[in-house]
Amino acid sequence: MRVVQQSERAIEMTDMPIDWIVGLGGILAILAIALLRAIAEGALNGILISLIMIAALGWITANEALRRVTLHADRAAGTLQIDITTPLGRQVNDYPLAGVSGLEIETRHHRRNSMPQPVLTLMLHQDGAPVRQQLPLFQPYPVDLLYASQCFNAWLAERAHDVPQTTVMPQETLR
Amino acid sequence: MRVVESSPDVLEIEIALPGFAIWFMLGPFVLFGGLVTLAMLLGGEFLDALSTGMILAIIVFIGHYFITRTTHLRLERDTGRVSVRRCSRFEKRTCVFPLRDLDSAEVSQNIGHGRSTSRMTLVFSSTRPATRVPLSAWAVSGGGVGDLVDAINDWLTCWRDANLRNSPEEETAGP
Repeated sequence: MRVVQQSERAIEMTDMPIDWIVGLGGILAILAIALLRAIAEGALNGILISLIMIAALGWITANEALRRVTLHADRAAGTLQIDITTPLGRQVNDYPLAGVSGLEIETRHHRRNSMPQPVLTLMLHQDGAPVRQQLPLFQPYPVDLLYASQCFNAWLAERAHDVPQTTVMPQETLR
Repeated sequence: MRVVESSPDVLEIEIALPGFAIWFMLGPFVLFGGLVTLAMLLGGEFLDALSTGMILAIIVFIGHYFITRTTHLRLERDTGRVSVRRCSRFEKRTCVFPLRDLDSAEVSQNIGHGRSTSRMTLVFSSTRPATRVPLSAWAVSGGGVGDLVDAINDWLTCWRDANLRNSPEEETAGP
């Protein structure tokens, strides 16, 4: 998660797992070379195996590694927009900024090897009840999540400072 | 991995694989792969030489990308902040946190195939539970990581002691 824009009015953060794109892109390139070689030699088995592997890996890459999650909060518009874009489609969710409490990091553990996996969670309050929504980031770095949540929460706290009479500190309502 | 600067005011640590290790890992691919490709070329197998050469180039590129990534950790007493700077071929990213959020550093160990490897992890106590931030994607064997972790924890202890001396009222204030 990288902070691409931050001003008094708006903050924008985006996530793109470059390391995974490089790794999976390299493997796809190797498979593409193997496919071309199999086509040149007329090896039907090689063509089929290469095609199946490219399709499987390409599907994972397009759905997971190339998924771009953008979080854009605008104080003037009073909205928080979460834009999830993949080569296969786009999903945009809008939330009123007044209902956003902040970003938190939850540490979950991997089912297979119990390794800790931090998850970025959007904290909302709807009808007085806290709601947690996990952001679907692909293999994020913990340090980036920590930095993103710190920046977003600081930006959100500025709002509470600016207009103390009209809004309640969301963090306080949850505790 | 080495300490770049160590003083009561600043502690800077660079986490990177040494140059000889990079050559040791990539050298055989370049040398033997290059020779095999050359032999194919001299034998008139142009298609095989082309595909083998391209695949080797991709493997070396990906390997070089992942093992040449570096992380700089800098703790500054005057500004009271800790910065983590990650550099790779495609991105340079710096995350800055308040020093008070950094609880400690620790060694996280992976044990597999009867061999133990370790890497350095920072523990940030600004979240609940604390977020553990690994500083490198790779782990190494040997005791170098432990020495650096000790250096960080010693520096943090000195910094906290100095803070307590500078503000004696905090020390005397009971719960």
